[in-house]
Amino acid sequence: MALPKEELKKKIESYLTDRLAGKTSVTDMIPLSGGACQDNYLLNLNIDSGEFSGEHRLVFRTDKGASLLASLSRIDEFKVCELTSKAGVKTPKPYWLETNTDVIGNPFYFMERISGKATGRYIVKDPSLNKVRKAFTEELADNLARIHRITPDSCTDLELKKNLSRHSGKNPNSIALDAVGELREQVVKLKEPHPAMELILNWLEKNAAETDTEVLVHGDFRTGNFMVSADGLQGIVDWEFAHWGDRHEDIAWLCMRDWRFGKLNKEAGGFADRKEFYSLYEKFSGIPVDPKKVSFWEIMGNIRWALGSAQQAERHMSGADKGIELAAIGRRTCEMEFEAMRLIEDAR
Amino acid sequence: MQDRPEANVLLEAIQDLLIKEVLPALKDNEAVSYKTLVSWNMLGVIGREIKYGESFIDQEIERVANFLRENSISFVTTDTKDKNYLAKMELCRSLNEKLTDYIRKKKIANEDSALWSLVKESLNEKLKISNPRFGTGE
Repeated sequence: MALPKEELKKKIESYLTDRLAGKTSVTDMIPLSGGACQDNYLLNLNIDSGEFSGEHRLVFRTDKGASLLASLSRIDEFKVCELTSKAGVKTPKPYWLETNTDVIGNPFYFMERISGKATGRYIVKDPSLNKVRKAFTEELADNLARIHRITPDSCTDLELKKNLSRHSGKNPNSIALDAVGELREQVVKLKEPHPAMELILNWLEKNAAETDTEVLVHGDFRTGNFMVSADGLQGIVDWEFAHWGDRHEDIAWLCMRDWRFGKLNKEAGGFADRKEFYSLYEKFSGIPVDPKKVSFWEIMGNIRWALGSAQQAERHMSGADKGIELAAIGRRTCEMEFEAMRLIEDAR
Repeated sequence: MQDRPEANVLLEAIQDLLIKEVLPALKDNEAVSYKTLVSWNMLGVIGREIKYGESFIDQEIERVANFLRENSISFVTTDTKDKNYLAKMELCRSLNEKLTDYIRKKKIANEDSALWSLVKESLNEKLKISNPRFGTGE
């Protein structure tokens, strides 16, 4: 269970006072509507002495005590932020990871607070971004290529290397089949039958795409997780679904219908043409994008999100986490199922 | 029989309240504004479900039961005239469970075009209630 805000604030103050060797006071603390698995706060700090003396505007990130399918722990998420930050990816710098659960009940860390907004409607429609959308698309393609340059072989933290792997051991040569298997395990647990999901999973199994090189995949690379301002891309956030996988998975996820926020003709995230994004990615990565593989992973992405929607509604139904947003999303499951079927028809 | 106004009219009145009065009063609270908009949208879903839900369930029961019968998977009776909405939903769910098992066991993807269309039709009916603008490109 998450601590009440006042209690959490006191614990953070005494923790940082010890850790940073400077009396720390939290001058402001605002809860953010976080994901399903974490609690986030905007945090203003005043540290009166020591290495970090001064005012700090940060984000505080901790677990809610619940986790979604294949989501990373805060510890691994912190490590992925460090890894990508060092690889030149634009992402908020992480600070002061605490793994000891005695402190507040869950692991936590802090993050640089970057400017900009990530809201879908703002990114695809706000007139103040009209002039930067092109440059922002280029920056994103460049950043995605940087993320995908990180490979399991280059990862020296063996614990992290292991935790980022989603290999089941059943399909040693196919990342795609492992991904299908992972979805199947979750689909059978749903409390209502989904014949469409079964048809789609069978299709994915029969048409599994081969992976050229296993790379670091962001896992939730989409409009909504890019902080943008009138100056362009400020940072890529939310690394909790990062894993070793196929580069086409991230490209496909970005292009999924649901992340276009109404701008359906801009197939890459609602802000760019699909082909334009492919060619920018190719320019920065030096690796060709295979449209057939993108289509395969887009079908996979839609069923993954259909499953996620059904699971979020289930969280409401079970009482684990109640709210109109969670409840409502269950009724959107059919949109992603329909889109996956449409993509399969187009792939014939 | 309840007095006027009907449930749909009441729902529309609440929708009006949310959009015209509640939402403008919440303009400084993005999170609650968003939830209000979601709620407004869900009232629309409820309204359409009251209107079309039962006839869609009847059609789905008929379609799925026919398919199961034609493929000798199940011969359950689909006489629904004495059943209320919830009982029809229960029957429809159990038919879809049989259909899902069949697809899983036979590993069928898009080879059986009758099955593919049948499943797609059920999705179409869900969309007509949950998001009728889905197909229009909005």
